[in-house]
Amino acid sequence: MAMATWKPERALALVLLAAAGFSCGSEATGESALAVVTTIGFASRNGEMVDAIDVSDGIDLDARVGGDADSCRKVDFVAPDGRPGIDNQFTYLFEIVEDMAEEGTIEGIVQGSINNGRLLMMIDLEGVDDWVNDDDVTVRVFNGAGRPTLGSDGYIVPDQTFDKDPGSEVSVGHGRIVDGVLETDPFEVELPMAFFNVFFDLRLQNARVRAHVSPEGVTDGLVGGGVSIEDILGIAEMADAMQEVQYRPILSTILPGFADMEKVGNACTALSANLRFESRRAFLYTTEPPPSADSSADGVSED
Amino acid sequence: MTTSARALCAGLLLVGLGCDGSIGMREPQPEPEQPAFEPQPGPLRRLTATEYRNTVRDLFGPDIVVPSSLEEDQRPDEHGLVAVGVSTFSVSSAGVQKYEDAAYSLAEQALVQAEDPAAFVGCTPGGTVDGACASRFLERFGRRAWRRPLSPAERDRLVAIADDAAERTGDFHQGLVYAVATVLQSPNFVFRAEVGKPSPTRAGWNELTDYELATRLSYLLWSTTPDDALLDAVAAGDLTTPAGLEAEVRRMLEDPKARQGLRAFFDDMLILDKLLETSEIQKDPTVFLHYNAEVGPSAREETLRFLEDLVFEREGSWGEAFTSRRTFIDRTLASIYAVPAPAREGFGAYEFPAEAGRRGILGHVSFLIANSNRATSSATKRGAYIRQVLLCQPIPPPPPDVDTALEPSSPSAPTLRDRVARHLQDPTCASCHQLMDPLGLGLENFDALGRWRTTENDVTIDPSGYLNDGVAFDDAAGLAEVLADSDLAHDCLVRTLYRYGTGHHEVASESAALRDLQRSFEASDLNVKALLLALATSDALRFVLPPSDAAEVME
Repeated sequence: MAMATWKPERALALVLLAAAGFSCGSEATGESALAVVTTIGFASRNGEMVDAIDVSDGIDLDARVGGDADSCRKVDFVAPDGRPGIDNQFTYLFEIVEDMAEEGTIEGIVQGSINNGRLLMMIDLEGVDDWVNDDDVTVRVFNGAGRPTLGSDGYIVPDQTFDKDPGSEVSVGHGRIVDGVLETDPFEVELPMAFFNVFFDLRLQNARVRAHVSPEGVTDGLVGGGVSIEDILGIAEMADAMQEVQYRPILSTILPGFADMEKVGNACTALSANLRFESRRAFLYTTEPPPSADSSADGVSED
Repeated sequence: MTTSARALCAGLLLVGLGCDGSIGMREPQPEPEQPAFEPQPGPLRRLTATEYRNTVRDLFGPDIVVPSSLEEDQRPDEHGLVAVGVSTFSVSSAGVQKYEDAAYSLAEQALVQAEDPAAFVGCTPGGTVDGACASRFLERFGRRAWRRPLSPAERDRLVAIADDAAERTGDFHQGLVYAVATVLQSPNFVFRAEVGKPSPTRAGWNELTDYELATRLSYLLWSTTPDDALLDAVAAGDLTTPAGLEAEVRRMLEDPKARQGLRAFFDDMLILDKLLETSEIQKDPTVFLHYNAEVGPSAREETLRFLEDLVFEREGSWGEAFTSRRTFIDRTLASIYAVPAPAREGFGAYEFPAEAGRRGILGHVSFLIANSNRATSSATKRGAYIRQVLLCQPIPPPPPDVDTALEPSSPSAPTLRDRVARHLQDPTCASCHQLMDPLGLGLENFDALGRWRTTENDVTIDPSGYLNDGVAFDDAAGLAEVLADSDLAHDCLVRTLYRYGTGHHEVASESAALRDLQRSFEASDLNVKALLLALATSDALRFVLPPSDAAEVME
């Protein structure tokens, strides 16, 4: 995990590293569209149940339904649209943290950071021959930079132009569009996130993206993957250093009970997590950005 | 059809100005015999707010803070020129007070609050009262401010004011404050008198004095007071000969202030000042995410930069004002146009791709946003603007007691074309609306904010229309081509510039001068810079009638 690296001044540090099925430098043909993420937040249970199974938005990350030994017997959720096998154990942790903090605090900090340009996640779809069904599209994910203009709805206005964050790597991969929904193969994602009042890079292992697309690009969807217990405890430790409330002792006790991914020996070492996002069409400047000082220093939130 | 709609249409018919539907492209026909040109009395023109600001900056320097509260400019009608309005309306009592407040504010900034008032004055006083220093300063300052040399009596009176005030306040520069404020409150500063003197060559006409002519030229070409070089040229008699006048006009057109002058003209003609008033262009925030307070000023700047580039950088044809795909946009406008911003800060040049439907000023947000409703586009407003501002064809306003709101969209009338159809089908409405709606419907691919769209309420938009019978177009790009080729549009620019330069609506006896300018404009391949030169050196700008004469307004 990249959690030890504080990057408070960076825009969204999302890096898709090449995983199975991904290749770099491919030349795509067809149409393309760039989008900037305008909202992002953890997917959670919605309080409903179907056949005694909790309903939660998310993705079937392990391509299995149920709670077998490889999932450390953790029961999957069912999606609001009826998709089974949803892996989203992180929702329990999120609910606890929301209780300890105040409801909406976490998402409020994240949204504020998106709106002021600290967290700009750009998703570029290339090589799209058909925006409804296409079995081979190229996905590029990188960080944007720039100060966004907000629309009358309070979110980043569509069709704005940004720079690519010069410090951001571009991850290139493949996916497919099925009935207007983009589905990617597993890959590794790092999402800059605000949690416990600090900024950190949240790494999702074996992550997948499931998102609606239109000719204007990715419009909304989910990104899910495994978050390691070690990473979460590290984040808590950093937070504990700045406040009276100590999260790490509590979390170290309860987290193993939620883990459902990345089994090592008899224990799962990661929690499945899903983030839902919305995005709008955007552009990149065609000229190089002027040089600017990198102001990364610490990860303490200004809030 | 509702009763109110019938009343509206009937009212439009009764007003009866230019609603016979016969207006269109100029057909080749024998030249009617033109009466000889005869000028009109020169108006008494108050400086517009723009002219006042530009003038004050030239007098005091670029750092002067010009009071924002000045007498409000008025247009003689919705689409008329401020340049005509300022010779039509008198100054209000509140306006007089504002001029006084502004005069003292400006004088105190330059003479009391400035770090080195002596640098502004140009001499160091020998004591609290120094009549010689005050006289030199006031003579120089007064010449620029009143656009002519002060008479000895005028100068002495101002010096006396300065001396007296200096004595009372115990401060030389404080004394000058009162004299400078007097200069700035004087009608000689606030108004431009264009009376002239009896012409030695044209019986019954007056010829502007060279200083009056220089003032006309300066406000026409620069939108500000004459510089010292122009006043020196007048003093040397250079403006008395055609060659001398042309040389001076050419110098003025090459001066950077000519861009300021051109911007002021198009600001007035195209009613771009409306874009600075948020209340005039406010859009429904639940419909238009992009609208904010920056949109109006950015949109105005785009159009002004585009025209400045067209006229001075490329010296292109006026037709390109309608057809050009090149423009200048910032991040705010780029997001509305849904194109990559060409510059990170400020404005950059951008050329829309050929397949884009956006062309010229009618594709600019400035026009589209200002001629729309709060939540919907308006074919009638857009068409009326094209007719009146770009083709100089008057259309009467609807009667004030008539509800002009269209019915909301419905499954049976999903598009604006459907909703305005009754205007075009009912003969009583069509007489006027056929002049507006078919033009405006050509721009239906642009919503009320100027964003491109192909559907309205999920129905494909039909953007076809016509200028008049026989001159049809398929879409906005087609409309642009029609206007670019339209003699009416070419002549309208000439007519509007003429009104701007002379400060009045032309009358029948001036048609020969207009015709000459229009021919000259066509001969120059619609070069606006050449048109400015032609007007500035024409008899129409030099001659006026003595104030007692009047003539019938020509429309």
